[in-house]
Amino acid sequence: MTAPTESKAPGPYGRSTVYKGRSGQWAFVLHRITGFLVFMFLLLHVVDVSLINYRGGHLYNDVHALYGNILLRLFEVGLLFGLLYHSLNGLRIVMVDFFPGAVKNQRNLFSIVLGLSVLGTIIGGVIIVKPYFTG
Amino acid sequence: MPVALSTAQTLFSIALGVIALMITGFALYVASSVLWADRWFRKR
Repeated sequence: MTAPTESKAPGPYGRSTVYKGRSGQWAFVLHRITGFLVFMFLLLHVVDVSLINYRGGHLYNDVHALYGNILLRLFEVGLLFGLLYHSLNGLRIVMVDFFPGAVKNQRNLFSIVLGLSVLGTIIGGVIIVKPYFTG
Repeated sequence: MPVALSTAQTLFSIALGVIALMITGFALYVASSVLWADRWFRKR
């Protein structure tokens, strides 16, 4: 029995499937970062919501009072961008998978995804941060 | 006047700070990988 050898040959599409310095590279980088952000916050969110079962909800209210803090509000604005970008870029990937023609327009699709994410973050950011100043 | 935090609030703040640092570290790692990792290739 021979030991498996590691092939150093490029994949079936040569070395052209992984992009460098183009929109696809930054779409991938942002997708990984936002995915990690959303996952890590989800873990913490499970903890903070589960506090509802303790001390008649006082602990839950106590911890959730922190969300009114400006730092947490800014964190939530970042989280909103992460959620919007990750979900919209996921749809872009699905679109490219299902419609082969979409790959020709992937750069425009990335611009649309980024534009909608930024727009949504600005609108949501105002809604999230405004109560801190207006009370 | 500084407001005293309860134990639960302090623990939650620390947990949030830790994940914020982890996310920042991961973001720096991923973004910098385009410069040094061997997974990126220019289209031929």
